[in-house]
Amino acid sequence: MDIPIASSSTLERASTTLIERSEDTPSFIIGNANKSYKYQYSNIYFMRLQYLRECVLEKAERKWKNLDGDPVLVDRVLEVEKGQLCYIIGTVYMDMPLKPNVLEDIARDRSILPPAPPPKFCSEDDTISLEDESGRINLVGERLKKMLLVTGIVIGALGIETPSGEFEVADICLPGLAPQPSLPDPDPPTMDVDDTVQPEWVGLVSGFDIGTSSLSDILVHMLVEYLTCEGGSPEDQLGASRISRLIIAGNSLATLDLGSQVENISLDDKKGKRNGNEPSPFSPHPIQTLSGHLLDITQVMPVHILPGSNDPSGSILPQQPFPRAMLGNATSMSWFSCETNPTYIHLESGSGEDEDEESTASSSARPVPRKFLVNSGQPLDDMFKYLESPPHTRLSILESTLKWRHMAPTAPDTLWCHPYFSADPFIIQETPDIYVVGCQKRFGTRLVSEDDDEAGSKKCRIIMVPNFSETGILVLVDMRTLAVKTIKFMTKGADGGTPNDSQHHPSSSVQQVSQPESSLSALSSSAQPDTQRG
Amino acid sequence: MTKTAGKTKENQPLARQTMQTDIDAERATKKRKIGISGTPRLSQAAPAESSFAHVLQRLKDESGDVHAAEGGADCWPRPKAPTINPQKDSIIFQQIDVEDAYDGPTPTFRMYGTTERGHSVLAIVTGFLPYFYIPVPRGFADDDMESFKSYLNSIMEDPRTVQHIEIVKRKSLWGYLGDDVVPFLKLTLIQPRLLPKIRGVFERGECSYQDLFPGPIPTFESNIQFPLRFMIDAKVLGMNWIEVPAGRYKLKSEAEKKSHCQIEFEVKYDQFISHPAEGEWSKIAPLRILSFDIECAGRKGIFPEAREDPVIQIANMVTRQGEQKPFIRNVFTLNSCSNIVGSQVIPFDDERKLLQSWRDFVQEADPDVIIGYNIANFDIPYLMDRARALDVKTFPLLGRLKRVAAQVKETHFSSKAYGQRDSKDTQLDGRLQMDILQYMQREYKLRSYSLNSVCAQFLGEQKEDVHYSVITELQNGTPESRRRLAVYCLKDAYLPQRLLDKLMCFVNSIEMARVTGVPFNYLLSRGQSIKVLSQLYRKANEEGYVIPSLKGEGSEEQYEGATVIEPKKGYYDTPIATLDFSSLYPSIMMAHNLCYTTILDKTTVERLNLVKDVDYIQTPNNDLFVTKTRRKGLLPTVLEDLISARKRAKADLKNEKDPFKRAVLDGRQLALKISANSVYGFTGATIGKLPCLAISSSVTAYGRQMIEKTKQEVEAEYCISNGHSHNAEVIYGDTDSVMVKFGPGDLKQVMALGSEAADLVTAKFVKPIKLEFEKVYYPYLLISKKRYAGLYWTKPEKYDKMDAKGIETVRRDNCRLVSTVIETCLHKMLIDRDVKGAEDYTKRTISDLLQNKVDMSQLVITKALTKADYAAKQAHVELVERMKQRDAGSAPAIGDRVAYVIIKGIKGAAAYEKSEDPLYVLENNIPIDTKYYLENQLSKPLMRIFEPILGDKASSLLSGDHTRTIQIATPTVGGLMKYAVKTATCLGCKTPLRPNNSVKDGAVCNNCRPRIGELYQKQVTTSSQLEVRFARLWTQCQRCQGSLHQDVLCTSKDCPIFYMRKKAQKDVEDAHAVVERFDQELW
Repeated sequence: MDIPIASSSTLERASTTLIERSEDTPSFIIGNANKSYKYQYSNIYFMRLQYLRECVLEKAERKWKNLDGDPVLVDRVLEVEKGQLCYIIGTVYMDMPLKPNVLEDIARDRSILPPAPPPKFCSEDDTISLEDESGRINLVGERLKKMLLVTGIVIGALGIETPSGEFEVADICLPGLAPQPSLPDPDPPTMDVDDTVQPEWVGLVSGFDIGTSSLSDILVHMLVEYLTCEGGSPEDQLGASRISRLIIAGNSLATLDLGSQVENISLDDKKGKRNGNEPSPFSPHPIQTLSGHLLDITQVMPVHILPGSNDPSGSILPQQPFPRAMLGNATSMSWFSCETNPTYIHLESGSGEDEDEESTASSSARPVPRKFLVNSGQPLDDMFKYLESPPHTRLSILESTLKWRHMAPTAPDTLWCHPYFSADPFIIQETPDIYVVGCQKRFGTRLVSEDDDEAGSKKCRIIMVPNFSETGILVLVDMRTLAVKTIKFMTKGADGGTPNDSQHHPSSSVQQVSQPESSLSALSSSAQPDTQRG
Repeated sequence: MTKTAGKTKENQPLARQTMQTDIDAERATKKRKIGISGTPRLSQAAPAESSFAHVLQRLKDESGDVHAAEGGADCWPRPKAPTINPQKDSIIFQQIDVEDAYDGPTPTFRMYGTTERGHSVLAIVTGFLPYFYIPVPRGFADDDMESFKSYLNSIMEDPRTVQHIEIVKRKSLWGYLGDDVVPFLKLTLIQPRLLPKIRGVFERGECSYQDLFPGPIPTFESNIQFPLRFMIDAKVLGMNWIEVPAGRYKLKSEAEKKSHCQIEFEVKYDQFISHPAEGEWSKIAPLRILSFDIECAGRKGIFPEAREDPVIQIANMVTRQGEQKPFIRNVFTLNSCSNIVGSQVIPFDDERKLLQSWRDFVQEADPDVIIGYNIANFDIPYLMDRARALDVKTFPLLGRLKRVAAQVKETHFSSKAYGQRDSKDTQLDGRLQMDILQYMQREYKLRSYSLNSVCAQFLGEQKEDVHYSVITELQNGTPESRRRLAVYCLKDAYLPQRLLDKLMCFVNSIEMARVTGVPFNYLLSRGQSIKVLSQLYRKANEEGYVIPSLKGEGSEEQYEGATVIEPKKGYYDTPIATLDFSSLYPSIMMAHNLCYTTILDKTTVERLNLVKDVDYIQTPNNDLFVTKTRRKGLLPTVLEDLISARKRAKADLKNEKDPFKRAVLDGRQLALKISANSVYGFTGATIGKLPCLAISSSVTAYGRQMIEKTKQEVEAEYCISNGHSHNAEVIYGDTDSVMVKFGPGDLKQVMALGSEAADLVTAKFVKPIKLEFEKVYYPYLLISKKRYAGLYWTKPEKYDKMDAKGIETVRRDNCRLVSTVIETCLHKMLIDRDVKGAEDYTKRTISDLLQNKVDMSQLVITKALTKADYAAKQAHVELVERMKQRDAGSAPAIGDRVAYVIIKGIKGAAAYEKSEDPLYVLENNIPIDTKYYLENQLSKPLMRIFEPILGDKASSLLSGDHTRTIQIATPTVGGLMKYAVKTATCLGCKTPLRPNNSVKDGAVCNNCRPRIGELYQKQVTTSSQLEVRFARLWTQCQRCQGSLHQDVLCTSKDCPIFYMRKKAQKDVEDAHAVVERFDQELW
C-alpha cells in the first residue's frame, strides 16, 4: 500500500493497515446462507443463551462459591425450589407496557395519528423476568431496581423463590469482559521510548446529515480541508497528517422524506406513496455532495463508511454496506471500504513488516494491532429507552454491553434485527480494543477494564461519537496509547464576523480547536474519571 | 415451525404473572428473626454487602414461615364442618339450586347451598305437593268433594292420585269481571307427573262427573314447573338465603346422607324462612367456582373424537366468589410434565387414572359452580364419552349425590330473543354450570365468539391459539413440550374466570335470579318469558289471583309494531336533539293500567254499567281496560315494584363504597331494568305461556300515538311564528325516541331547547310517562329506518362517543375490510367533519384493493364448518374439500372455523368455487377477486353511508380514476403459469430488461439509469418498511406467547396479525432480492 502524501509535501501521513479479522469477530454481511426470513427470532435467543450461559456460569461459580448457605446452581429456572438459596442463569426479559405494540397500532382508530413513540419505555409497571428454555420466572427485589438491565442480556441471578413464586434476587452476575487476545503491551515499559513515537490517530466521525442544512455542509467542507491538510495553521496540518484513516459511523445523509413513514405499519396512509408514479421528493444532490467529499478524503487516507439509521440502507441490523457504486469515484480506491453496521475493523499501527519497505522514524516502534468494533448508535439509543437516566448514562450502558458480552441485547425485541438462524453475531466474543458508537448527541469516552480482572490486562476504549452536523466534532483515537482527543469545527458566521477567519471561507472560520475545546481526554491510566463532554 | 432436535419449547407459566400476593405488606409486620450466623462473605464490593446480607436473611425468614403447597394442593377440601346441634343451631345458607326428586313415596326437593363460612349444604324439603285449580262448576256442592275425588282417582286408576280437594276463593287473572271472588277447586296431587294427565281430562272435556262438567274445562296454574311452583309458594328466590331455625329440621347422620354435602338435613316445606335478597341478605356466600379446560390429542386432520382420542390434560382453577385469585391451580397431565411454578402438576401414565383422579378432585374441591368456555357442548360431554370409552365406571359421579351418575342430554333451545340452538346439557346435581361461551352468545353481539376474539374484545389481549394438530405433537414430545401445553391449558382454564370477573357475569346473573325469582340455571337454559312468569305468579298469588293455563299455540296473528316517523334521510350538520321516553312500554302499561286483570269486554261494561273514561278507557287499538279506580292492574304493580326497586338500587349504588357490594348493586339495577322491559314482550309472545295481544297491541298503539303527538307538540311550539329563530322539525322517530332538528347551530342552545321541550311534552302525558332529553347528535347521518350514525353529546364541552346503529360493523359474513372502511369513514365524517377526507379515504382504499395492497387479514371471511353435507354449495365447504385433496392432514375438520378469501376464477364461476385458503393464496401469489370484494362486500354499505351526503354522486366512489389502476398478482401455480417465463422489468419504467437495454441482472434500463439513485433509495425505503414490519410482527407474537426461547406456534386466525406476519416474511425476502439487483448496476 502506498503511503499517502498529503498535499503539503513536507508532511508525512501516518499510516495504519487493515489486517485480517479474527474468527471471533464475525462479518455482518448477510450471505446467501443466512438470507432467509423464514426463521423465527427464538433461534437468536437460543444461540445467545447457549453461548453466554457458559461465560456466566464460570463467573458465578467463582463469585458465589464462598457464600454462606452454599448456593447451588439450578439448571433450569423452573426447577427452583421454594425457600432454597440458589442461582439461575437465563435471558432477561423486561415486560414494559410502554413498549410500542404493533397490535395497538393496528387496532387504533385509523384516522387518529398514533402518539409519538415514548422517549422511554420504562415505567412503574415494568416487570423483569428471567427466562431459559424451560420457562420464565419473575425477578423481584430492591436490589434489582438499581441494576442496569435490559431485555436480552444473559445473567446469573442469586436468590430465593418467594412463596408467591417469584425469585427474590440478592445478587446478579454478568458474563464480564470477553477475552482479549494478548497484546504486546505497548505502553508502560516503553513509555520513554515513545517520546519519539508520534501519535497515530484514527479519525472517527458520524452524522454528516448531508442534505439538511448548509451549515453542516460547510462544517463537512472544513473537515475535508482539515483532513487533507489544506486548511488551518501549519500546526493543524502537522496534526492532521498524523491521522491515518477515517471511520464514518453512520448518518452521512439526512433522512429522506421517503423514509418518514418507516415505522408506520397501520393499514392506510402508506397508500399511494409507493405507487411508483407520483413525484418523489428525491434529490440526487446529497449523494453527489457526499461522494465528492469522500473522493477528496480518499485521496489522502483510507475511509470506512457505515450506514446509519437515516441512511438509505435497510432498517434492521445488521445494516448492509452501501452499494459501492452509489458513492461515485471514491469507491474506485481500494482503500475505501463500505462497511456493515455494526462492523469489526482490525488495524495495525505503523507498518513494521508490511509491504511498506521504506522505514520511517516511527517504525522503530513495534506495530500494534487494534480491533475496532463500530456501530452507528442504534443499539445504544434503543437500550437507553429501557433505563432511567439518571442514574444510568449512555456511557454506563455502553460499558455494560462489554460486560454483558453483547452489543445489542435488545435486538430482536425492540431493536429490529435479521432473523439469524444459527448464530447470534451480536455476541461480543472478543473484547475489542476500541469500541466506537456513532450518531450520539454528545461526545463521551471511557477506558473500560474488568473490575475484578486479576491480570487487569483487558482494556477497551469506548467512544461515543457525536453527530458532526450538530457538534462539528471529529474524534481522534491513538492506535498506540488509546488516548482520545476531539477537534471541533465551528462556523462564526452567526455571531457576525470574528477577526481571525480563514482564507478559504470568508463566511466561516476553520477553527481547529485542539487544545481549548478538546483535550487528551484520557490516558491509558484508567483511574481518571469518565470524560463526558458537551 | 419445527426446530432442531434437542431444543425445547417452553412457555411462560401463567401463574407467575398472576399470583402476586402482596408480600410487601406482609413483610412490614413480620418480626426479624435472629440473624444467620456470621455475615455472608462476599467477593462483592463493600457498599453492596449490607443490603445483600439483609435480603438473604429476610428471604430465609420468610421461606421458613410459609409452607404453602404449590398451586394450592393442600387446600382442596372445604373447611371442616362444625358439629351441629339440631336443637340449638339454626342453619343459614345461600341456596344455589332447587331440584325436585322422586326417590320416596312423595316428591321432595333438594335445595343445595353454601353457608357463609363455605360449608356445603343439602336441604331435603318434604311435604310439598303439586296442585292446580279449576273453576267450581255450577251445581257443585261441598259434599260432592269426596265423591269427586274418588271419581277422579278411579279414572286415573290410582286411588292416591288426588290427595286432596278444597274450595278456595280466587279471582281469575284474565279479564275484569267485577270485584267478586269466585270459588275454585284446588286439586292437590301426589306426583307432578300425574298433573298433565288429569289436566287433560278436564281440558278435553272427558270429565263426566255427574254431568257437572259440560265440555272442556279451563284449568288454572296447571302448567308451571314443579320446582318453580314450590319456590313461588315457599317464597324462595333464585340464589337467596334460607334460614332453618333450630329444632325444625332433622339432621342426617353420615350414614344416612345421600350426598357429599357437609351438612345434610330434612325440613318441611313450611318450616324454614326464606329471606328476600335485600339489605343484609344481598350478600353472596363464598361459592367455589371451578374453571377448567381440557386438551385432547387429536389425530391429524380429524377433530378429536372421544372414542379414539385421549384426554391428555385437564387444567383447573378454583376461585372463591369474591376473591381475586384462584386458590387452587393445577393441571392433570397424561405422561410426565415439567414443573410449573405457581401451579401443581399432577402427572399420570394411565388415562383412566387421570380421569378417575380428576373426578376425585372435583369431589374433594367440591365446586358450587363449574365454568369454562364451551364446556357444555365440548369439554364435559367429551370427558363423559371418553370415560365411557375407557370404561371408567365411576367417572360420571361428578355431582353431589353419592349415587347419581351424570348424563349428557341433547337439548334444543328456542327463543325469540336468542334464536335457536341445539346444545348438550349435563346435569351435575348440586353444581351450577355456566358456560361462558353461551353467556357471551346471549349477552353480546360479536363478530366472533372464539375465546381468542372474546378475550381481545373484553380483556384487551390476544390469546395464543394452538391448533389441535400441534397439540398432539407437543404431547408426544418431551416433558418440556408437555409443560408448554399445560401452561396453555392453564391459561385457557383461567380466562373464563377472568371473563367472569371482568364482565360480572356471575354477580349479574345472581341478581337476575334474585330479581325474577327463577333458579340460577334457568337463566342460561331458558328464555325470557319464564322470568316474567315467575314474577307474575308471585304477585298474582299474593293478590288472590289464579292464572289460567293457556296453550301457547303460536298463532299467526300479527299486531302492528312500533312505528317510526319516516326518516328524512340526510347528513345534518346542525345539532339534532333526541327526546326519549324513559322506559316507554312499562310506563304506558302503568299509565293506562294495562293488564290481564283489567281487560274488559263490552258485555261486562254493560253488565256493570261502567262509564267510559271514568271506569274504563278505550285504547287506540280499541281494547277496553278498567281504570285504576276500579282495579289496580297486576302488571302495573309488578312494574312499579321493579322500577322503584331499581331506583333504590341506584341510590344505594351511589352511596356504596365497597367495590364488591357495588358490583352486586349494579348487577341488581341492571337485572331490574331488563326485567321491567321484558314484561311487554311477554304479553306479546304468541308462543308464550300467557299471550295477550290486547295488551301488547295497545301498548304499541299508545307508543305510536305518543311519538306522533310529540312531533306535533314540538313542531307546533318551536316555530318562527312563536318567536323562535327556526321552525323545529322532527326528522325521525322510532319506538321511544324522537329526533328533533331545532334549527340553531349552537350546541348549548339546542340542549336547552331539548330539555325545555321534553318538560313541555311530558306535562301533556299521563304519569308516569316521561319524555326526557338525553343527548344531541351533532353531526348526524340518517341513512334509513334504524340505521344512523352520529356524534353523541350529553354536555356541550365534549362529545361522549360516536354512535352508530344498524351499520355494518359486526356482521360476521363480512370481511374485516368492510367494518374498517365504514368505521373510518364515519370517523372522518362525524368526528373530523371531513367528508372530503372520507371520500378520499374510500377512494384510496378501493384503489388499494384493486391494486392488491390491502392486507389479507382484512379480506378473510370465516365460517364454521358444522357438518359436511350442506344442501346448497357453500364457499367454505367447497374449500375444505379442495384442501383435503391437497393435504388431508392440514385441512379444517368439522367444528373448525374455516377462513377463506375469494380469488379470481374463470369467468362465470360461482363464488363458492372461488374460495381459497388465505395461506395458500399468500404462498402462491394467487390473485384476489377484488371485484367481488368491491361489489359484494363494500359497495352496498358504502353507498348507504355516502348517499345521504353525496346523493347521486355517491356512485362515483365506486368508479372513476382511482379504479383505473389494477394490479394483479402473478400466481406461481396453476394454469398457464407453468409455461410463463418471468422477465425482470426496469424499476423505473417497467420496461422488460433485455441484454440490449440493461446490464445483466441489473435493476434499471439504460434510459432510466440517470435516475438510479432515486430508484435505489425508493426500493431501500420499501424494503426497510417491510423489514420493520417483519420484525415488529414477529416480536409481538413472541411477547404474546410469553417466551423468547421458543418458536411461535400460535395459529389464531382471529388475530389481526396472523396473515400479516406470514405475508411479511415473504414480502421482505422479495424486496431484498430487488435491492440486490442494484449491486450489479452501473451508477
